[in-house]
Amino acid sequence: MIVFLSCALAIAATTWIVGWWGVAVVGLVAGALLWRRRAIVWSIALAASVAWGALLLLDASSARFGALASSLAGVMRVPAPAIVIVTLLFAALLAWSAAVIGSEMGRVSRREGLM
Amino acid sequence: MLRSLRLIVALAVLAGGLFIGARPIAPAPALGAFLEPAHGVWALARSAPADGDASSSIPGLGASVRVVYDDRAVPHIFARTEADAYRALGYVVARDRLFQLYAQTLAASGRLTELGGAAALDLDREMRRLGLTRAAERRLAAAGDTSNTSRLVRAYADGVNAYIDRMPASALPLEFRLLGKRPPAWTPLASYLLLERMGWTLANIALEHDRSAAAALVGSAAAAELFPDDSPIQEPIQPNGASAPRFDTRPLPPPGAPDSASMVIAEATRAWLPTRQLAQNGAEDDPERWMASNNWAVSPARSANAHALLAGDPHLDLSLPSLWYEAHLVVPGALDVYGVTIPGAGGIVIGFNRDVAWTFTNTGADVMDFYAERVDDDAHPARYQVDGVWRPLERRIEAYRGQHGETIAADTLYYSHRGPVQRVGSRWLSMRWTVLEEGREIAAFINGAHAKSAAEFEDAMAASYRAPAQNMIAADRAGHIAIRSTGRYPIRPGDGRGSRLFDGTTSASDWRGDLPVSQWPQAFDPAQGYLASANQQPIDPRTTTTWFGGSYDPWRALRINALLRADSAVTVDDMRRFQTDPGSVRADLFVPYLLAAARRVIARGTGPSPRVLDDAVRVLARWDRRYTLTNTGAVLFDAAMREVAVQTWDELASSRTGRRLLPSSAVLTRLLSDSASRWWDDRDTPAVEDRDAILASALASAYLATRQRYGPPEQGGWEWGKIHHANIYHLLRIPALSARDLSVSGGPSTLSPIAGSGTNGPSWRMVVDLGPTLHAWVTYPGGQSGNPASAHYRDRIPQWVNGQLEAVHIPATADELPASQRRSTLTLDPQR
Repeated sequence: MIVFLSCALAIAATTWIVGWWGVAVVGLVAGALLWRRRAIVWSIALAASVAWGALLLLDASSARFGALASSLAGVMRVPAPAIVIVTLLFAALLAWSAAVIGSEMGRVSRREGLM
Repeated sequence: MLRSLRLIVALAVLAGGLFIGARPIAPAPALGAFLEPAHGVWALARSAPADGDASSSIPGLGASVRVVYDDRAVPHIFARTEADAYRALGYVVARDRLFQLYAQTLAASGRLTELGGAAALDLDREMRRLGLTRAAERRLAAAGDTSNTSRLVRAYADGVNAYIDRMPASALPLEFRLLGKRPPAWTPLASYLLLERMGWTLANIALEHDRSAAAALVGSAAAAELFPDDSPIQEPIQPNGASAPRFDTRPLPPPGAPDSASMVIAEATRAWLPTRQLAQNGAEDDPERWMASNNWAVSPARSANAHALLAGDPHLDLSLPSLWYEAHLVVPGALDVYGVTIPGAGGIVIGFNRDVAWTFTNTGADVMDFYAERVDDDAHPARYQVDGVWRPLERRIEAYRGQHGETIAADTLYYSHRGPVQRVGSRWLSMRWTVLEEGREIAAFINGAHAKSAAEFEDAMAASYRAPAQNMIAADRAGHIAIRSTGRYPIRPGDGRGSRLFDGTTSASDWRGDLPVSQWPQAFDPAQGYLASANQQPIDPRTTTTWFGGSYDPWRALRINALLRADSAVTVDDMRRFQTDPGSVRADLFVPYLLAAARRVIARGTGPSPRVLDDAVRVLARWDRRYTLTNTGAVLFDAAMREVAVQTWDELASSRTGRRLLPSSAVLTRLLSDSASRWWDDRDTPAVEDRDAILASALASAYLATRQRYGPPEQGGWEWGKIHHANIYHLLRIPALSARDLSVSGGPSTLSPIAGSGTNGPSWRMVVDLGPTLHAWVTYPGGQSGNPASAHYRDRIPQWVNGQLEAVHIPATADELPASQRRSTLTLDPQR
C-alpha cells in the first residue's frame, strides 16, 4: 500500500510540476526500481489513474466542473463520463507501458549486474 | 515469450501514448497537455476569473488599481490615472475574452487561414484586398507616439500582454487548447484593425450593387426607382415637422431596355466585397435588410418622471462570446464611464457617464466610390495615370499562412492615392472608401466618455469620428436630447452622388473635401419632444440634395415613432417594452391588401383554389399582426411577402448570375395603388396578371407551402415561437458552445428583428434614466466570460430572450458596492 500511495503521490506531483509526460517518467523509474514486486506494473498503472483522479477531484471541487464536462462532451461529441474515463485511462496506459519497459530494464540491469 | 510479447505491446502503447500525447491528430488536439488534470482543459473549471479575489501586476502601471467584479461579472475599474484604467481594462478583457481577442484580430487582418486553412482563404482575401491592415497601420502611424490616444491604446495593449504573460497555464482558454495554439502578444495595431473591421461590417454599399445589377436587367430609370436613394416612405431621423410618415405613391416606371454598362458598379462591389455580397442574398429575409439598430431618446416633457430617457439596441451578428464586453472605468475627478467596449478596441463605445448617455445606429451613407484607372501594364502594372502624369502604384505582397505556418497563397496588391486597385473584368479599378482613410475613432470614444452634456458628446464625436457613419443619439441629466449622423461625407464632383464609375485619369474626379458638420443631419431638443433613429433616411430629401443613406426598410422607424408619438408620459419600462415590441407596420400595411385581393379573386372565380384562399384568409384575418411567440399568422404573412416579392419582381431574376434582386417592401408599397402596373404581370404566363392576381396567388402559394412544411394551422405547428429562432453561434461555430434554436418574439420589420438564419439581432439593449442620479438597465445575448465553463458564459441569454433588462451597479468608489453585489476583487499592482 505504501508503494502504491508513493507512486500515486509521485505521479501527481510530477504531473503538477512537469506535465503529462511526467506519468511516463515516474512509471519508467518505478518499474525499473520495483520490478521484483509482484504485479508492480498494474499497481503503477492504477496509481497513475488514482493520481490523475485525485487531481480531477481538485478540478471538480469547482462548481464549474459539471458545465465544463458537459461543454467538452458537446465539443467532442461523446458523453461526459467518457472523457473522464479517457483521461484516467490515458494516464494508466502511459504508466503501465512505461512501467513494463522500466521493469524489463530493471531485470536486464540485474542480470547484467548493474543493479 | 509472453514477457517479450508484453514488452512489445508496452513499447507500442508507450510510443503511441507519447505520440498522441504530444502531437495533435486533427481534429483532436494533442491529448497529453489537453487531458492532463493539473493544467490541462479540466483545470479551466478552477480558473473562472470572477470567482475569487486575486492579484497581479502590470508593467507601467503608475499606482495600484482595484477591479471589483459585481454579481453580474462586470469589472468596475478604479484607477488613479486614465492610462492605468485602460491598462486594467486591457487586462480584464484579456482575462475574460482572450480567445475572442485572437480570433477577431485574425478575422480583421485576413489571417483566418491560420486557423481554418484554405477554407478561409476567400474571406481572408476580401480583408486583404480591401487593405484593412494597411489602413490600420496608417491610422496607427497618424496617431503618433505622443498623442493621448496612442498612450491609452499602448496602455491597453500593456494590460492585455500583462495578462497573457502572467496567465497561469490552467487558464489557457479552451479554444486555444482545441486548436493547439498559444495567444500571441497583443499590439496597438490590433485595436485599430478591429475598428476597420467594423467599417467593413457597416459601411458598404449593397444598394449601389443592386441598383447597378437591376439596371442591366430593366434599365437605369426603373432601377433607380426600384433601388432608390430616397426612401418611398419618409419619417426621417432629423424631424421634418410632419406628424405622420409621408408615402410616395407615384407609380413606378415600367421595365425598360437593359443597360448593361451600369453593371460595372455591381462587378466592382462583388470584386471587393464578395463574401458580404454573398451574405446579402437580396432575399426578402436578407439579414442586411433587417439587421440594423434602434435608438431613441425622450425629453423630460414627454417622460413620466420628467427625466430625459434614452434607449439603444444595436443589431449586429450575434456570437458567443458576445461582440460586447461590459465594463466601468473610474478615475476620480477625471473619468467615470460605464458601458460596452468591443474586446480589443479600447474605450467604451456605447454607454454613459454620470451626466450623459449615448448609443448609435448605422447611417448607411455611400462612402465607397470606384474609379476606372489607366495603368502602364495590363498584366503587371507599376504606374497609373492622373492628369497625364504617371504615378507609381504602391505594391504590397500578401502571403496567406496555413495552420502550420506554411504559405498557402500569395497575392500582389496595388494601391493608388485613392485606395486599393484591382483588375475587374477588362478594367483596372481603384476604390476609395472612408473606412480606409483618416479617422480617429478611438480618440472619439475616449474623448466622448468625458462629455458633460449631450451637445458636448456630439461635438466630441464630430471632431474625431469618421467611419462607419453613425446616428449618434445622446441625452443628458439637464434634460437635453440630441442626435447627429456623424461621419465623413465626401464632397464629390458632379451631382455629388457616388453611384457611378468615375474617370480615374483626372484628378477632377477626386473628392473635393468633406461636408461640414453644420450640414450633417442633426437635431437638438426638437419640439416633438423625442428623437428616434432606426436606420431610416436621416434627413428628408426635400430638405437637402445630399444623400446620407437610408437604404434600410423604414418599418422599424415608423413603429418607434408611432409608439413615441402616442405616449406623452413614457416610463423606463415603456422604453424597455418598446425594444421588443412585436408590432409590425409592414404587416399593418400589407395584410389588408392581401385579404382584399384574396376576397376579390375568390369573387372573380379565377386564379388559385377558392378553398385554399379561404383558409389562408381565415388565418391571416384573425392574426393581430404582432410577432408574438404564440401567434400563428406571422409565418403565413412572411411566407406570403416572400412569395409576393418573388412573383412581382420576376423581371429582376438574372439568368446570368442566378441572383434574384428584390426591391424592399417599402418600394412595393408604391405598386399597391397601381393595380395594373406592368410590374405585376408574370412574364412567364400568357395572361396579364394584375395586383390582386399576384397578391392572391402569393398568399395561396404561401399557405400551401406553410401547410406542407408545418402541417395544418390548427395543429399548433404554425406558432411563431416554434418556427422563428435566434441562433447564437460560438466564434468557431462549435454547436456545443453555441446557443441555438432560441424562441424569440419579433420578426422582420419589428423593432427587435432576428434576421436571416437567426444569427443577427439586437446585440446589446440599454435603457438609461437621466435623472438627478443616473440609472441604467441593460442586457446582451451572452455573458461576460468567454470560458464555456463559467456561469457567466451565457447567463444573460434568458433575459435577452424574454426582453428583460438588469439594473446595473454604478459605484463611484470601490467601497461603495455592497458586499451582496460584490463577487470578487482583482488588485493590479505596478510591476516591481
